[in-house]
This record gives sequence, structure tokens and C-alpha cells, in this order.
Amino acid sequence: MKFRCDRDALSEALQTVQRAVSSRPGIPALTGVLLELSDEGTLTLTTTDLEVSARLSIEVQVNETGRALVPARLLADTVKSLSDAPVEIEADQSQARIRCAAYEGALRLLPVEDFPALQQPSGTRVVVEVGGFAEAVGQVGRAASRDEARPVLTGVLMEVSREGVTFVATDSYRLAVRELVATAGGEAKVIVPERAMSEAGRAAAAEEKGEIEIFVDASQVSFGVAQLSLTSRLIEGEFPNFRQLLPEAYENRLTVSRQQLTDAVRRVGLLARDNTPVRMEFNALGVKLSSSSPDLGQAVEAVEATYEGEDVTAAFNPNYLADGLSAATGESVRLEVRDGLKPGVVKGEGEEFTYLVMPVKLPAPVA
Amino acid sequence: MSSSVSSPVLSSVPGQDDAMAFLMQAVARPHHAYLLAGPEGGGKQLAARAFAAALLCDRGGCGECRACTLALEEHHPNLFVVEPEGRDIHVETVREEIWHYAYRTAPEPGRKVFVLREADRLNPAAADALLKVLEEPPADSVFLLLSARPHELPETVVSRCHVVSFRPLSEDFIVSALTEAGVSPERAALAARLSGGNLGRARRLVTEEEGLAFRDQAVEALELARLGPAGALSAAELVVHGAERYRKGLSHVLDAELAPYLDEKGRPEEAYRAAIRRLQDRHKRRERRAERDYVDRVLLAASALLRDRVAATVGGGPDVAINLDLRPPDVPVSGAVAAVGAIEEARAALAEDLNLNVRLVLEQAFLRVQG
Repeated sequence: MKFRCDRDALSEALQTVQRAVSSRPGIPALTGVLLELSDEGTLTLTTTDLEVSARLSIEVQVNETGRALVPARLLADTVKSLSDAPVEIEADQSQARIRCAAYEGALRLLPVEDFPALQQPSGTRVVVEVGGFAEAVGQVGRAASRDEARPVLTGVLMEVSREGVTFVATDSYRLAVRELVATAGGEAKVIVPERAMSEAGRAAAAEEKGEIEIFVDASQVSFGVAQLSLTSRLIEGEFPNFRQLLPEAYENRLTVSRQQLTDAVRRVGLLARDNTPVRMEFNALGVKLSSSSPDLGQAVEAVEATYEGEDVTAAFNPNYLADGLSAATGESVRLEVRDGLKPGVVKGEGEEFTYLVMPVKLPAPVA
Repeated sequence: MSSSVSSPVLSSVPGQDDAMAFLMQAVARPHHAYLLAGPEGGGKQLAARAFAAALLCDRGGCGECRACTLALEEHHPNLFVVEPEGRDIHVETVREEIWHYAYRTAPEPGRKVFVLREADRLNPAAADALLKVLEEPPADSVFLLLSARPHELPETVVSRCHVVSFRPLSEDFIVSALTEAGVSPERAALAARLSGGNLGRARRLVTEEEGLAFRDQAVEALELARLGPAGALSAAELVVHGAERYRKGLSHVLDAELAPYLDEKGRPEEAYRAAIRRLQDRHKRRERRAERDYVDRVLLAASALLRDRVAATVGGGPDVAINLDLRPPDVPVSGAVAAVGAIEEARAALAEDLNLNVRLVLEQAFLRVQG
């Protein structure tokens, strides 16, 4: 295997795929980047950590086709440090020689047959616009659980229908749902690990315009953005029936400047430590936020807003609520509440995003 | 050997015909969990790797394909191996290395196989976490628990596993394995007698330079113990020291293993900190085991020497002696009988419980030798 290419292009490609290199090298082959040269003049770089794999193709000048598994970090660091001149890489059975200007180095190869056999993207094809996808991932990702104790909740549910895609995540304290218009070739329902989702979101966010092509089958999902293809294993199990959790419209609705309420929740929330909530009193003037921690002190802030409905008091975890408020889009935001026991519902200006946050039960008044 | 499937990779595991026949039956339609139980050195790890290969191979363990080769090296992407980090297998390890993958689709099409070495080292929280997976086993997953102390596993875990028993290897088997490897029949016979059914140990006896040094130590310790209580304490001291020396001799293994992860100045490369920590943990564990193993070898040798003494008194010729090349120690026969009992009790206690104070157990045993 032998090729020649531009240093920057190779360096950038290596940095991109390096994100899927395993940080726990139980299997040495997983610390490598698989380099494959085709007749058509493309170099394909592949990495995997058994959960997510990244595959990226770049144009190079191919002298001899073939494949080699090279230690990823070492290669990336080497190429990055080379002077700005064409790079030539040539691999035999045991090592890869790197030449650039006056530099010449040789990296010992990893056993290429140990590299996992990756399956080509297949199954239901879904196409969405990159901007919308990146936004959707950002909106729901943070609601996913970090606790491995309930594996299904560590993922993002992707429900594909002819009309579009619905992304859902919940850690059982809050639930984020985002609908996205898409062109889909069929129906599918899978749970994608949150990390894979955010990697795909990051790749989509890097593109100004264009589309992301998603393939979903029973064992994997793959996201194709520009020349990069990210493939992820799926989480097996039953995702909670989220539609059942979404309440019918509430009577009580606060319409408020998104920025103002977010800031107030964060500020007042500073004195709500260790699971003490921020208390919210909704009335005709708007909402009054308050918090107190016995050891720290207390804070109060009133936010003027339009409120339709009965006077209600509810309490929420300030971080969870602020997450929902900042995930919504638009100048103003709607916060719907029922009473102190039902979840609060955050909606942006459109109907495509819904965020549910469980209330914290307030102690009964002592009097 | 009766078998429903032909599985070269399983047939190639020697000396455990019953266990392997059982596993061979299981390949076609595996249960979701197996407990491979039996003493150290009986081939459980070898069997687990072979069984994993058979489960991951399209042809039930041909022993030649990529899947078999990778599984036998524990490099197959669908094979997940967990072992104690430090003393225990922790709940985080179970969550991150078992749950995480158990509830995800397999990296390559096919089954996922999870191997837990020294499964009795699961701490209570980790055992609970594992139990949850065993209670609702994910599709196409097979769990192999390995243990030399299966009674230390919670009953709830054991009851969800098919138990496959591994016996100490027979002396004949060890002799033939060693002679096949080019060891002279006399040395093979001696090593087999002294190894207590542990093939790895028998191999070390004949190949390592100081393979028989522990027996000299056993002779010396018995002589000391005969001198009275003070001698018994010195005997224990002697063995503890020997074990420590032996353990220290192993540190070059770690150095060699760590080399690829160090930069040119011998400092750990940033990206490999985690890998290095794991290697160090593994090494600590190996050292602990080496220490125990050394003590056990000395005790076994002492017990064999005493037994030879008894055998000689009752008129047994050289053919029944264990130490074919040594004169039995000069101990009164009645004392020798009691001493064998004391030493075997000490061995059993040490094998049973990893937390015992070795020095105390040894002192107790040697105090009874003079009896």
C-alpha cells in the first residue's frame, strides 16, 4: 500500500476519525486506524471503539492499493507535526513508512485481521437537513440519562415515519421530544446511544448546509455527512411510551421572554443546592421564583409575564428547567403547569419541540 | 467422547473430558450462563476461550477461522472479558463492561460472549448488578463465570448458571503432557506428583530454573519446625520470606508489559494512563496469586515429604514415594501423620479464603508439626 497526499487533508481526516478510537485498549487493534486505498484514488480511514465507528474518505494519489492498520494516535500526532509538504505513506506487512520533506519515520502496524468487520449502512433510509438535525440533537441529547443502571435511558429514541423523525430522550426526571421533517423510505424505531447521537450532531453542525443521510436497520444506525460516515450500535430494550407521558394541553400557561426566565431560574437556582428546588408561584403578574437552603441563604425574583389560568405554585429542579428553557427556540417560551404534582411543559415558539420536567413535591405548610 | 457437534476447538482442550463433552453439547443451543468451577490450573481459562470460540464461530469452533483465532486470543470484538481490578470486581466494572455491551447490538453480527474471571471476586453490589442481567438475559448473549471458589458466589447467581465442574488434572495426564513436551519421564513424574493437579504449576516445576527450590525450602522448614516452637515460627518466617522473594522476581513482567505505553523518558503516555493502571492492577493481583501459589507449593512439598516418611515406615518401597529422589525426613511417624493433617488443613484454608494472614496460618501449621 502506498499513497501520497496533502498534509493538511490527511491530518484533518485523522483528527476527525480519531474521535471513535477506543480509549480503553482491551483489544490492541481498536487503537488503530484502518487505512484502505482503492483504485479510484480514495483513501478511506476507519476507526471503531466497538460502539461507534467512523469512516472518512479523502482523495489521494494512489501508487499501490492495499490496507493497513496503523496506531491512530501516533499517526495523527506524527502527521500533525510534519512540515507543510506532501506526505507519502507506504506500508508493507509489518510497518508503515512516513516520508515528508526531510522526515522519514516507520510505525509498527497492528494486525489488520483483528480489526472488527464493519457492516455497510443498510435498511431504512432517512434524509434530513443538517441544520435541523444538529439542532434536534442539541435539544434532546441533554435529557438522556448518564446512569448505566437503565441502559435504554442512556440513548435517544429515533422514531422514523413517512412524515418525519421524532427524537426523544428522558432520564425519568425530564423528557425532551423533537419532531423533524424528513424524507423517509419507511418506518423504524431504534434507540441510539447518546454519544453516537452527539457525535453525529457535531458532524452535522460543522456543515453549513446540505443533508445528512441516515440508514437504520435492526442492529445499527449510520449517519452520513459529507465524506464522513458514523455508524453506531443500538441499545436493545423497550423505550418508555413517551406519548402516554405527554399531557393534554393544560389550562394554565405562562408566556414569557425565554432569556429572562432562563436567567432568573439560573440565578435563583444558585441557592437551591442538593435537590432543593426552585419554587415558582404563578399569578396574573407573571411568576415569582424563590429558593432557600438552610445553610446557604435564600433568593427571590419576580419575572413579569403573561399568565393565563389559576394561581398555581409548583417547584422544579432549576438545572432541569433551565436545560429545557435553553433548548427551546425563539424569543419567547411557553411554560404550562397544572398543579404542583404534574410535570411542567416547556414549548418554544413552534410546536416541534416539547420538554417535560417533573415537579419536586413541596413539603406541606407547617401551619 | 460423545458429542452432538464436532468442535475441534473444544476437543483440543485436554484433560477435562467430561466438562468439554458437556460444553460441546451446549454449543448448538447454549444456555445464557455457565459457571466453570474447579481448582486453579485445571484449564478453566483455556476451556472458556475455546467455548467462546465455538460460540462465535459459524461452524461451531473449527479452530481455524478468523473468529476462532481472535476468540482464542481474547481479541474478538464480540468477546468481553472482565477480571478483578485490585481485589474485587466492582459494580462500575459490571455496568461499564458488561451491562453496556450486553444491552447493545453486537459489534459484529452474531452472539456476544462475556467472560468473568475469578467470578467469586464480585463484590456484593457487583453481584447484584450481574444478577439483573442474568435474570433478564439479553438476546444472543452468553455469560461464562470462572471460579476456583464457587461457594463464595451468591446462590442467586449460581442458580442461574449451568455449573460445569473442572477436576484437578490426573497425574497420568500431567505426566504425558510433560513428556510430550520433551521432559524426561522421571522429572515429569516428580513434577506431576508435586503439582497437585495443576498443569501450569507442573510446567513451571520442570522449566523454571528454581522450579524445585521450594522443595528445598520445605525440607529446611520441616527441619526447623522439629526444633520446637521457636523453630516453628522461624519455619513460617522462612516460607513467608521465600514467597516474598518469589513475588518480587515477577516485577520484570510488568516492566515488559508497560514498555509500549511509556514515552522515551519512561513516563506514562497521557493517553494510556487508564491502560497502565489496569496493567498495574492486574500485576498486583498476579503477585498476590504468585505469593499464595508459592506458599501452597512449599506446603504441598512438605506434606509430600512427610507422607513419604509414613509410607517408608509402613514398608512402602520407592514406587509409592512422591519424592523419588530424596530420602524422607527424620520425623517420628506418629508426628508425621499429625503433621500431614496440619499442613493439608493449612493448604485448604489458604485456598479457601484469600483474606487469611499467611504467616499466622503457617505458624499454626508448623507448630503442630513438632507435635
